[in-house]
Amino acid sequence: MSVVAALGCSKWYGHVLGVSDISWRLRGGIVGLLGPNGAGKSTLMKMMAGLLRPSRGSLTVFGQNPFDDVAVRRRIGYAPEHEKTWDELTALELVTAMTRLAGVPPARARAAAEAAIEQMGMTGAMHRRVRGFSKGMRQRTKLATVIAHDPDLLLLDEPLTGVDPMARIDIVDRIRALGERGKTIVVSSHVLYEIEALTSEIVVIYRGQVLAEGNIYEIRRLIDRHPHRIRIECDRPRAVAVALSASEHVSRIVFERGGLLLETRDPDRCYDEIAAAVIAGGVTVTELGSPDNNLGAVFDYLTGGGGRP
Amino acid sequence: MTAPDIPMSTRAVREIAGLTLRRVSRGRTLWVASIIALVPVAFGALLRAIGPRGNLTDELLAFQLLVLAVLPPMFIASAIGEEIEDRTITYLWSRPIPRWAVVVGKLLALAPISMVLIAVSWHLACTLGLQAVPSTRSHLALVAAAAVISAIATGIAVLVPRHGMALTIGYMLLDFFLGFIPASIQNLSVLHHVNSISFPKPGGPDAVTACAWLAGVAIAWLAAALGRIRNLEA
Repeated sequence: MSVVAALGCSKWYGHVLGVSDISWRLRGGIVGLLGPNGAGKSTLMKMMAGLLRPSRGSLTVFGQNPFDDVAVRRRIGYAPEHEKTWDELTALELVTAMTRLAGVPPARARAAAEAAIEQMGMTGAMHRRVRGFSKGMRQRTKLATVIAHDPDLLLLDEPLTGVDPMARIDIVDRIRALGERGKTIVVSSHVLYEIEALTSEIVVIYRGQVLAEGNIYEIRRLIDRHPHRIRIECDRPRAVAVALSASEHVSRIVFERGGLLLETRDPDRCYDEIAAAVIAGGVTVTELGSPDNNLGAVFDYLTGGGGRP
Repeated sequence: MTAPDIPMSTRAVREIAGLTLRRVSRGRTLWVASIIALVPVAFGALLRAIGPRGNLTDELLAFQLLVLAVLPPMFIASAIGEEIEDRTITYLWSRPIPRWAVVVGKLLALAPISMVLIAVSWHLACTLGLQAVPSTRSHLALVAAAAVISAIATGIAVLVPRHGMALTIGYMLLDFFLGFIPASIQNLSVLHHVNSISFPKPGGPDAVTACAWLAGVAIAWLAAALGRIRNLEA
């Protein structure tokens, strides 16, 4: 049986479309729900959490409708995208209350909450009120409320938003550890590398529709078949251009203010050649990056709107 | 997975009531409400300082009714409205609990606070201002009204979360004027019934009829709240 099964599932907010005719099955593992802001990720998450009812079609979790079936929600742990929690409570009070509301008997709820807080690395702050927490601490506390009642399906809506890089690495590790323990986890993000750090299985959602699903590297390989742009900001762009002009991997060079833009069909080799050219020419590079190496490029490619010469 | 038991509805209500009380005890609302509840007491003290000026019970009651129109919305409408507007309700509704448990839990936690504050405020105001202990009847009428206005605030906050408190206070001001309309429509006025129970007048509704109207108003608003909450999305 699928953990999540959406069949022709659509959701409107008045005249605004949230998700459109989504048919999708989730069987397990960690899955990244990838899409830009407003794509419909949160809407899909909320429908899985039983907070929204599909306007058309059906969405079931463990074979049940999560909006109407109260019982199935005890198997779900949902962390919303927003930061707001009950700031007057301490982390332990918050997680304990949520654990009790998830159906864990009061006698066991506190111990389960403490264990979840420990698992999220928040033991030292568990008696402090949430009001004084940083974004990273709030995210960890939120994750503790999600895992304390030991759900089978975890829905994490943008769990890395606003988190500093060190906390991000830590949270990613903890989410991966949950996945290794056999939990089914759906993580949404609009940042490709965040998802990439967590899983290789993604669902790309755009304008309320599933554009692609499967292995992230397959999808990126498809993108790499199209010209890939690399922007170099440096003190002597002409020297770099001369060095790369003979390269078989560079198909086009465009001078821009403060640097140059290359097009290539083989970005990995091109980066090697850029490094060699920069070192040989003694060029000072202030910035090196690819405007294509982001989620926008994935969407451009998948929607047929970009990645073209 | 060790499957936990689904919480009984009563357990969920109790849990949410406890959570609500804990939050209120640490927030500012309780302090602000206590200060507002002291306004009639201050007025009573002022009356005493000025000296006896005939029967000032009506003036004191008018003050008390204004406080009555403000306190329950402050607690209930803001608690429910903020929960929905701030989307913290998503934490609760994604749990295996019935949606109505959230509303009922908050109502059961917060309505008694308003009732106690109103009763204490009225008692102190009369004792200080009139130098007389108010009648049990007037106490009960005000406490019942606080409960009914809490139900009204619940209904309005669920229907219009963003402006629940302001609309409930506005509704209560309308209710105040409705009570002066000499027609059957005045039966819908909570404050009119409080007045008629506290100080029965010849030709006015008897206490039982007044209580029935109060119960009817409360049930209607609660039914609206519970009906709406079933289908409300977060």
